[in-house]
Amino acid sequence: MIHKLLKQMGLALALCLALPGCGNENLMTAVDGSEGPLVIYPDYKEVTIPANIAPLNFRYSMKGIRKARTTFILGERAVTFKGTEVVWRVGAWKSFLADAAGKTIQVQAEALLDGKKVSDSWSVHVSEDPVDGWLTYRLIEPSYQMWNEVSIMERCVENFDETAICDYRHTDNACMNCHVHGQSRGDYSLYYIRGPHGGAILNKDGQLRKLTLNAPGMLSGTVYGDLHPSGRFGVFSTNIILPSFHTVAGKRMEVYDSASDLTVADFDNNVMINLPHVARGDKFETFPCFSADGNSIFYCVADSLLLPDQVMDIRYDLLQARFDADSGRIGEQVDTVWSGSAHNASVCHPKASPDGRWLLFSVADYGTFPLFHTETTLYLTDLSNGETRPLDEIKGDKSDSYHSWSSNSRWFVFASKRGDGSYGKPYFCHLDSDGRTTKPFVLPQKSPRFYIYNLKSFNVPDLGNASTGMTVKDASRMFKAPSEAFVQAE
Amino acid sequence: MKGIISRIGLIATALAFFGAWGFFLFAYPYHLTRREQFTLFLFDWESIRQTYRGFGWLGSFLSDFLEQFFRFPLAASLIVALLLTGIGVTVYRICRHFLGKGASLTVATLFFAWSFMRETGNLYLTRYTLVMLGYLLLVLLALRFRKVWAKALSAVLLLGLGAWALGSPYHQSYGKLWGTPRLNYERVIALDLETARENWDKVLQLSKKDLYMVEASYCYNLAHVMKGDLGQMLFNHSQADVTSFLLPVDTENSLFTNTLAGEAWFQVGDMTIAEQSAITSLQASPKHTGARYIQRLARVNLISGETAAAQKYLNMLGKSLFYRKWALGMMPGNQDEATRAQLAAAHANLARKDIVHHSNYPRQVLLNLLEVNPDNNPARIYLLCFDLMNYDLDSFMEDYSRRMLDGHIYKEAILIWLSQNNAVTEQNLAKYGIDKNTQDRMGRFFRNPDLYRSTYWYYYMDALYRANEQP
Repeated sequence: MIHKLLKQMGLALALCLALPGCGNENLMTAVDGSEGPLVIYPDYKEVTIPANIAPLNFRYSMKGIRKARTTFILGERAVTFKGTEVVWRVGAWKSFLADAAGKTIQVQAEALLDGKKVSDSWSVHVSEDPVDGWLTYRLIEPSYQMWNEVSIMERCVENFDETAICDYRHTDNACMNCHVHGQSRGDYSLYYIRGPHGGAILNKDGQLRKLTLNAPGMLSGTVYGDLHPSGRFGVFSTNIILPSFHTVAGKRMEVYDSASDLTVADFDNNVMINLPHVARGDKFETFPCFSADGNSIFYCVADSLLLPDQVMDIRYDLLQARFDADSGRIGEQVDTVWSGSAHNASVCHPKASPDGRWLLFSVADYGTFPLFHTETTLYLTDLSNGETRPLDEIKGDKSDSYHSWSSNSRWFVFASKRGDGSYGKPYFCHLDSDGRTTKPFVLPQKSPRFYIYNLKSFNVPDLGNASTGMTVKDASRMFKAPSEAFVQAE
Repeated sequence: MKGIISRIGLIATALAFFGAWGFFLFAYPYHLTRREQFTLFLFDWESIRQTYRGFGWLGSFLSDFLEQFFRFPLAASLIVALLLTGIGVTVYRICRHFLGKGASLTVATLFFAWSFMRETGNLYLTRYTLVMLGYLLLVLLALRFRKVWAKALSAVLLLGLGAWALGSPYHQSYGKLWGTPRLNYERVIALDLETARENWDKVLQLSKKDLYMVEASYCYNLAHVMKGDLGQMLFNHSQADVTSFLLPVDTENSLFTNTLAGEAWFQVGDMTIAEQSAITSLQASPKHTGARYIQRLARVNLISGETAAAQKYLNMLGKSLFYRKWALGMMPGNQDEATRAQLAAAHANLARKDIVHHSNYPRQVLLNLLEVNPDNNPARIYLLCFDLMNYDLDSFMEDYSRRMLDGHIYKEAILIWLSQNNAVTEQNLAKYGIDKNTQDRMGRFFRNPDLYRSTYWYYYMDALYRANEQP
C-alpha cells in the first residue's frame, strides 16, 4: 500500500513537471463557447473590438480537436498560430492592430476534429472608437452574505497588467465595496472599506480622503452612489440590505432592501444633505446617479412592501429629479423615465453616458438585486427623445447586471453571468451614434483557460480613462487614518 | 560514548518518525484528511501558473501537491511524519556544525516537538512545515561551504531565494507558532467528514460523545433521518431545539458550521442552500478552493440542471488525480445508467414553487419540497420532527395525516393531541395505529416520568412545567 502510494506520488509529480498539461485534454468541453464548426472559448467570433484592447487569446474547446491552425488576416498581413490555443504576445498584437481601426480582421481556422478536417472562418471588426484603458472590479466568490480575503483590482485592458487597489492583507481582512469612477475619470473615484476602521475612500485629483458618510437619522452608511461632475457632491442610497434564498434551484439568492433612502454628501463641507421627499417611509429609493451635466439625478423607487413575503411583487420605477449643484438639494419635482411597474418589471443600476445622450439600466422581473436574475436585460434610453428599448440582441442566458460607460460613450462594460451562471465576468459592448450595439466580448485574459479555473466573480466592473494611481499601500494608509466625520445639514 | 549517542540518535529518529506517524494515523486521522478537502491540485500548467505565483509559489505548489494525498490517512500520516522527522534530522545536522552530539540531539528533539505541536493546530496547513524544512535545508546547504564569508554569503543568497520560492513559514491563521492536539475537535471533524461521505452508521458512532454540541446533534439527527428512524430515536439524547435539524447558512457561523449546514439541505433537496454552503466554504477555506466543495458544487448543479456550471466544476475535478474518474463519470454525455437514475431521482425532489426565505425557519421550505415529491422521506421526517420540537401539534397532525410514518415519538405526540382534543376514541387510535401498549406506557409515564426521558411526553411535559414556572 505504502509502496503503491509513494509510486503514485512520484509518478504524479513527474507527470506534472514534465508535461505541459497532463490532465485529460478531452475532458474539456465548451462552457459557453462560440457557434460554428470550430467552437472557441472565449467567444471572439464576429465581435467588434476597440483597437486598444488586449490580445483576444482563445482556445478551441471541443473534444477530440487536434492540429489546429489559425490565421489572422488584416490587409496584406497575416499571422498564423498552430495549436489549439491561440495566445498572442502583447507586442505582436499591438503591431498587428497598429492601423486596424475601422477595418475588419478575417480569421481562418482549420483543425482535425476526431480525425476529420474541419474549417471555419469569422471576422473581428476593429472599431475606430477606443475604450477607456482601465477597469476596476472587486474579486469575490459569488456569495452575498460573506467575505474573506477580498480585493479590489485595477486592470489595464490594453494589456494584461492587473494590480490591487485595496486588498484584505492591508485592511485586516475587512470587507470592501466596489470602486466607482466619477464620469469615468481615473483621478476621481470612490470605494468603501467596511468595518470598525472603515470609511469611504474618496480619490479626488489623486488626493485621498477617508470619509464617514453617515449622520444621525440615516438608515445606514452610504451604499450605492455616484459622484458629481463638479467634484463637490456625491449622491448615494442608504439601505438596509437583507440576503435570502430562493427555493427553486438555479434562482439562487435574492437580496432586498427592507428600507432605503437617498442622501447627498457635500465633500467640501463634510455635510450629509438628507431630504424627506427622497427618504419616504412608504417608498424605497435607491441606485441614484447623476446626469452627465450634473443638473439632475436618476434613481429607482418602489412602493415599500412587506418583505420578503412580497419580494416578487416589488417593482422599481426609474425617475429623474433636478439637482441643484449650488445647494446640493434634490428637487421635489420628479419625472418618470421608465416605469417598471407599468411594464411589470423592476429597474436597477441606471447609468448616464458621459456625453449625456444615453441612459443604460438593468431590468429584471422584480426586486433590487438582479445579479442572480437570469431574465435581467439591459435597457437603453435615448435621452434626446426619451425612447427606451431592451438590448435583447446582447442579452446572455444568465443575468447581465452592473454596467459602466467608457468616457467617449461609445463603449460600455457590463457584468454577465452568461454561461456558468455563477461567476460574473466583464463583457464589452460597442454602441454607435444610432444606439446600435455589437456582440459583446469578455475581458481578454493572458491565458485562454483563465475563466475555466477562475472561482471569483468580477464584481462591479467600472471603466476609467486613466489609472487611479491608487495602491494597496494607500489603502493601508487610509485604513489606519482617522475618518472625517460628516454632519447632518441644517 | 560516541557510539551510544549515535545509537540514541538513530533510535530518536525512529521514535520521532513512528511516533508522529502513529499519532496522526491512529489518534488524529481526520485532522490531516480535512486538509485535503481544502485543496484541489490540478494537473494543468495553466492552473499551476495561475495558482502558484508570487512569493512562496514553490512552497504552495509542493504542499498542495502533497496535501492531495491526504485523502488517504495512511499517506497523510506518512508524509507528515517524514516532514517532521526531516526537520529533526536537519536541525541535528545544522547544530552539529556548532554543538556536540548530545546538545544537537536535544535541540533537534525540541525543534521536532515544536513542529509536531504546530502540525496539530486547528486549520494548520502542511505548507508551513514544508517551508520550515525548506529553510533548514537551505541553511544546511550554506553551511557546507568551508570559508566563513562563503557560508555567510551563500546563506544570504539561499535564504533570499528561499523567501521568494518558499514564502513565510508562519501565517497568523494557518501557520501558527503553536498548536495543541484537541481530541474532541478531532471527533467533530470526523463527524463532518463522515457526514459528507454519507457513512451514517459511523456518524452515529462518532456523535455519541458530543451530542451536547449543536453540530454533533445535527449530524446525529441527519444520520437518523437518512436511516429513516428519527421518529424512533429523536429523544435518545437531549435535543437542544430545532437548530440542530437544519442549520442556516449564516455570516455568524464558522466555516465548519456553514459547510456542515449544506449536508442536510443537500439531502432534503434544497440545492440553493446546499450550493451557497459550498460557495461560502470555498470562500472561507484557506486556499479559496477545496475538492469537497467543488465536488458538491458539481453535484448540486448537475441535479439542478445547470449543466454549464456543473461542467465548469467537473472540468476542474477532471484535472485532479483522485477526482478525475468521478468527474469523467459525471460529465453529461458520459454518465452511466445508475448515475443518470440517481441524478433524476434527486432532480425530482427539487422545489417547483418559488419562496424567498432566510434558511432559519425551514417549515415552509420542507412543505414546498414535499408538495413536489411526497416520497421525499428526509424532508418529511425533518418536517414532522420540526413540528414536534416546536410543540406545534396541530401542524404535526396535519403533516402526519398526509403520510404516516413509523416511530414511537410520533405515536406519543398523537396521543397528546388526541387527549387535548378529547378525541381518544377506538376509531382514532386505530386510525393512527396506536396500540394498547403505547396507551399503557403513557399511563405509566405519568406515574414516573423520569423513566421515560426518551419519549415525546417527557419533552412536552418538561416544556409545560417550564412554562408554568415562568412568572
